[in-house]
Amino acid sequence: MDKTKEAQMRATMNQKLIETGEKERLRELLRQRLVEAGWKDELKMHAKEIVKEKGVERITVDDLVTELTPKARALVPDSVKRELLQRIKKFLEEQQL
Amino acid sequence: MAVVPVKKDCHPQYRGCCHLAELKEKDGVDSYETIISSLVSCTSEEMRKVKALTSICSICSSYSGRIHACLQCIFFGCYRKKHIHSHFQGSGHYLGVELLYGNVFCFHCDNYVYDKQLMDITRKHARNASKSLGMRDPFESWQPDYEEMILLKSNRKRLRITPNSTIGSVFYSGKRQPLILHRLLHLIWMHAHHLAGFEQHDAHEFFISTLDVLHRHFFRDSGGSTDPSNPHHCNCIIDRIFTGGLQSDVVCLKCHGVSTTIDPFWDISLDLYDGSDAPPTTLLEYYLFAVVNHIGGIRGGHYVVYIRQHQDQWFKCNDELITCANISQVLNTEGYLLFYHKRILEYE
Ligand SMILES: [Zn+2]
Ligand SMILES: [Zn+2]
Ligand SMILES: [Zn+2]
Ligand SMILES: [Zn+2]
Repeated sequence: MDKTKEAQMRATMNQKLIETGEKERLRELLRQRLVEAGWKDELKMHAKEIVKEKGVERITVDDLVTELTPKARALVPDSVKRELLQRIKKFLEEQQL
Repeated sequence: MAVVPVKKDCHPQYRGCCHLAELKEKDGVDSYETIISSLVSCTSEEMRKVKALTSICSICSSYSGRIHACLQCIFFGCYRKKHIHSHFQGSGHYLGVELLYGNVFCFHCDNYVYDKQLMDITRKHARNASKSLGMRDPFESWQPDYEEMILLKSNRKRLRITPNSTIGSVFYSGKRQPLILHRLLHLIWMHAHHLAGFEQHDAHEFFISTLDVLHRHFFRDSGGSTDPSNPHHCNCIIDRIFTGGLQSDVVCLKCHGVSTTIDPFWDISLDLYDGSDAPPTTLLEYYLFAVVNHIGGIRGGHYVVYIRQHQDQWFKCNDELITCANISQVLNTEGYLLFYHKRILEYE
């Protein structure tokens, strides 16, 4: 698939996900799974460490986001990614996209 | 010509964001509420359609990258490529609503703002949105169903709780929310000044101080006649539950006479069991009901507690986050403080 077509596809998918409310459902599911997997705890700990290191008066949201994002992505368990992927695939089939 | 934005700091003593406070004073919260109800937490497919088509960066047409809506005009910009920032620079506006959760960003403060009033609005609409999608209430507090109600009522422990004992009445009120014992914490801070504040403290030291504070409290109430700093022979509820007697016998080598002393103790430090000796046999059985764990280093860290309830259900308490846990998770932790109930067995 060429680049523009892929981008179009993604945009349509995003629209469908929002319109149907499926995005909210997926977000709630993801939130639950990450809590269960201890992901939230671990990230919160890490965030506290960063804040302490830089000092609460000096740190900005951007610092925090930059430092946390790679770790946050890496820590999502494969099983959670798989479950979400399945759900999205199923949704796309139902929507006949 | 570019407008040079003048960044205005709040007065150093001001808590929160003075810019948002000022705007609220002038214009109220209606525009915020409109953004939330139509672009963050929608309640119908029609509204969500509009949301999907509008929540797009006016400059780069991206729909990801944290889209913010300007609170002072109609403009959408992404945060990732700083297109919302360039809008603020060009227009003199400075407050944006992030469209995933409804957080408010202040350009002058260069930070997100916690505002109780706005957060209540966000919650209200998030609740409505979840309901409209048939999802559970994201902020619901638990209400016991009929069977749980019976269980609560017939709980023998509950009957012994007096109506005005706050911890007990809240604990058994049936609300399924994290319980914050702020009054107890305050009481401890008032009596053990070195524990007050935000410094890191040791859980064991805190536990011992807590017992001491409670002992002094109950000692007064039970009309104790001896010096409260003397833990011997105290009959208060705290000492009856938590104080043990450590008996040491000294045998005289010459006359073989035995002198016995009994010292109070509140905890036993354990050697790390290396597996060489057989575990001690005892006539008593102890029932593990809580494990306090420390995560992090010596300078600072975080405590997480596993608690056992209803026979064998474990719960992991990590600040306000309480999740189910299983026994193998508990046994695989390092364990800093272990709490046991004594089960008295019949002598063999
Ligand atoms: Zn501000
Ligand atoms: Zn604007
Ligand atoms: Zn953009
Ligand atoms: Zn006592």
